Amino acid sequence: MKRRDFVKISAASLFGSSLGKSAWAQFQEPRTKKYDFFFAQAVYGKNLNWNPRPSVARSLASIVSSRTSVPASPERVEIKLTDKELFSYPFLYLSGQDAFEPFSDEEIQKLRRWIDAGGFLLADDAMGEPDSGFDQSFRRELSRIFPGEKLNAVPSDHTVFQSYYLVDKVAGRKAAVPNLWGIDRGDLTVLMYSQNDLAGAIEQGPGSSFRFSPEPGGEAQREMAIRLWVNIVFYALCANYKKDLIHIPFISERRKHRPK
Amino acid sequence: MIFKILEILGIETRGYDRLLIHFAGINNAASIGVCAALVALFALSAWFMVKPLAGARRKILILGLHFLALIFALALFLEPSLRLAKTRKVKSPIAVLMDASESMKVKTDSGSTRIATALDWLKKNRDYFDSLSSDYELRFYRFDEKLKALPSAFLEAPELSAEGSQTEILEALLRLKSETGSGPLAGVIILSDGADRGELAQIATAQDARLKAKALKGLEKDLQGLGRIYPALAGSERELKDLALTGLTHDGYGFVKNPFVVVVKVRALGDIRGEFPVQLFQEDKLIVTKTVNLEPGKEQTLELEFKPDQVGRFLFKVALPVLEGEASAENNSRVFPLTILRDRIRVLYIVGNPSWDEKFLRRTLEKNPAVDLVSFYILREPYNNPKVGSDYELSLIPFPVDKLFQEELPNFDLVIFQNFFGMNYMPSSYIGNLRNYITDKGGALIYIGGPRAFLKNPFNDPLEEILPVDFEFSGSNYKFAQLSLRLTESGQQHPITNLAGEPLENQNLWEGVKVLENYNPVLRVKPDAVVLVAHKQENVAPLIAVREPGKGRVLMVATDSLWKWKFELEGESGSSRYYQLFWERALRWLMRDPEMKSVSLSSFRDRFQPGEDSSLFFSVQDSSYHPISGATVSLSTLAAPEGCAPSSVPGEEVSPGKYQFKLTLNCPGGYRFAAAAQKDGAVIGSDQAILAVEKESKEMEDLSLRPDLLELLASAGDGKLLKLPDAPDQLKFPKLQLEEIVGAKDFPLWNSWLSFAMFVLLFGALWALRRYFSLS
Repeated sequence: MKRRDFVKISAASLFGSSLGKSAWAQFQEPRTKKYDFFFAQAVYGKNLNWNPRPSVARSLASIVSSRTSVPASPERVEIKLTDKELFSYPFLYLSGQDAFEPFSDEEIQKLRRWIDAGGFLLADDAMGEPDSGFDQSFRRELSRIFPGEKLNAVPSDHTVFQSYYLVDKVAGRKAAVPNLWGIDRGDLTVLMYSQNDLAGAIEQGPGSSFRFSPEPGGEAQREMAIRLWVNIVFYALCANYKKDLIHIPFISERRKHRPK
Repeated sequence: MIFKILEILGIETRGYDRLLIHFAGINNAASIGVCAALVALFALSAWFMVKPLAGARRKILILGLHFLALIFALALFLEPSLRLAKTRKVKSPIAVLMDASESMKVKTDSGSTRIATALDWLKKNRDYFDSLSSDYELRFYRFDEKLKALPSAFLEAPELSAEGSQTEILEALLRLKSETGSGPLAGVIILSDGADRGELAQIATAQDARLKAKALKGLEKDLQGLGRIYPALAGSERELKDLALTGLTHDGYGFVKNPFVVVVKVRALGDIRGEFPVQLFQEDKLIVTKTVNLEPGKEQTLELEFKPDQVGRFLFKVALPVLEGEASAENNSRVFPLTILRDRIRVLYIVGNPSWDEKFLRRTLEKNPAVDLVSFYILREPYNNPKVGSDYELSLIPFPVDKLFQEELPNFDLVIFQNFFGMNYMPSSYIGNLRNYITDKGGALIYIGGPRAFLKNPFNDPLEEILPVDFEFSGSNYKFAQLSLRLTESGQQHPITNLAGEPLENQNLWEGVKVLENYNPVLRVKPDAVVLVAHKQENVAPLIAVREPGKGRVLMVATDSLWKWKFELEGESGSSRYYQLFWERALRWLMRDPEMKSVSLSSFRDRFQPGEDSSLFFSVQDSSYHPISGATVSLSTLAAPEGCAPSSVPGEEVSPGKYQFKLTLNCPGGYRFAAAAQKDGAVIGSDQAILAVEKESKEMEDLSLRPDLLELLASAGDGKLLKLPDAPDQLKFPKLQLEEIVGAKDFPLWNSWLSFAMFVLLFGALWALRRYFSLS
């Protein structure tokens, strides 16, 4: 190789690598931030019962964005069930801690159509105890949204327990009910319901400290709740991707060797 | 006596031998209806007049007057006349029906054909028929699936060929009945082998005893008016030898690498027994041989199974050996064209990070039963910290890039990159492998936008080479904006984006998609790419485009918000069918669905009868699916039955870009044609088509004589079955007293003032009596 050729190739390589770095920087930080996950929360009733954990969206966005590849928006989208914009958000969080008035027929119909179109609803009882006022009202509304159907315990081999983390315990701020509940449409669970105040386990107050201490498991329980949150977000986004045949042997092997 | 009275009245009756009453007013059913209405009217009037009257005399008077008035009213309407008629005696007709269906050309043990045996029998018994014709009128007909009269002099030199495609004996008798009108026949002689394919065979084979009894009763009724039925069996089964394919069934499509079954029925007649090979050919290549063990008269069913190894349209042939002395070799083979489709579309789906666009596309792909998905999502970037003690707490699996991009790539039919930039996961040479898989191996790629897509980087160079666009050097690769779409002229025609069929509806459909909000801008369209959908805002910026680099196909979607089209549309209208249709059609185009070819040769049907006029239509479009007019088109025959290749025919442009080749294919068998198009010296493209020419009838599938069917007919028609060469003198026909009127003279009975005066007088009397009896 002549010296001139060597210089040419070196110059080209340098150009290429600097170009690569520039493009990579551009990729890592697009000029406008694009989010792939928006936390939309259902606004209902006449008081603030719908909003027991007002800053949960910010906490969840921080968790999801830092731990996974999904850029999550820290802004919460507050949305009424009759809003046209409901169909811009395929993930909807519905929470409360007290009994609430029945939804209007229009709200019921809209919610049913939203689920049929591919929406995923996560309901969370902020009281964190069985048979609460919210629990009774929510189950009453469910019987109107899904007549003749009932909530079933989400089985331990469900994708939601392996969509990102391998999770085998259901907990939130409380650990009163050891199950998540769900309603299925075909091979998909379109609604999940937690009675353990999932949001309470991750909600941060001013600054970055958590508002509540999980009971009875403390920080270990919080980590379980965080992981369940991440898994629920991934289930909403990826559905049964982790049930693909290629994943099964890996996941099975990992479950065997996982530290207890 | 009456004639004498008439003569006394001065009416000339000489030459007439019948006196009839003729009603000129009865022309049709309506006139009978009017008569019935008149009778009803008079009966009603009489009833209302008689009912309130007290005395029997008065009642009788009124009734009598009504009766007389009715007689005159009917006379006025029916116009009766006395008819003097001259009559002539006519001979009772006997119909001789000759079976001219194809099965009649089978040879009998004497060496002559069945039809020749029947004709010989007529010739040999000429004296009998001559003597019969002194008392009867002989009418000759030929029949197969139709009935046709033969010349009256047929008996003098009986000649007939057996070319009819189907034997339908009962149908022929019913046609004969309707042809002779109401006139009865003394009888029918049917010269046939009885190999009926019509209603008679169905009656004979009815399984349900109740239904069969009912059908036989119906048969007797059908034969009424035809006189005695004498079927005469032509042929002998003693030395009939025939090996035949009597049934062939299969699915409409086959799938590569999936078992395909052709069910074949085989039957042997005559002294044929033992094992025989049944062979299945794909084009000229033998692909399956199976042995069938045959016994005379018994039908065997067997399955020929194979796994197609190639996508395309092929001609298949099932063949039995042709034995020496077989009655027919035509029924020893059958051809059929068959389209072999891709069994499954194996898709490698790689996603930069989970998103709604990924979720809704994946759900759409999952709904397609033909799609096999292998997906890899990047769930964690190097800078993410999942905060675990070990990876065993995660369900994440390693991204097997080496195996996928070095070994497995050729096993996929389609690769989808969705918002994916792989520099962190693989060397650039793997993207080179992807490019080669597209250009050299004919693979397909869907490239979907997002912040990680369309990045100008040497790593992406091989990708950029095959995509429909060049990436720009400067500016952001990703933008937010409410998008308005514009369907391009090519998009209007292209099968991927022509979702609604009607141009205006299609345009409105795409312009109505106003929900998209992110896109990858500043892309330069390559000269050979076809932009289907562009942004309205930036006139030239492509949003959906396709390209065919080398042997492969690429579809680019420069947005990651197409999911909103599905989700929001479903919210608005409850249906997202156009989103699904778009992806379904995209997959079909990428997989080179034969129905989406831009240059295609096709016909309305793929089966024709020998000698039937057929046409091949050659659709010539450019890669944007714009029709090309004025192209030079040619058609060549690649395969045809020996000595039967049709002479070259010119293509005529029947509509823009659509050319017709008119053909007549005479020989049974398979034909493969190739059409090519050129314009201004440049080759546009070519395509092939397969046609099968086969007799549709089942006439030659089973050549057995069916004396049982003829016996059934004889029994229902009060006749007897003859077996040729039985002498015909045992046939007995009734002599019907038939005569016809050869001349007539009418004397109207109503057409006089007297009749009319009587009618008026009677009505006047009735009116007067109503007044007199104080009736309302």
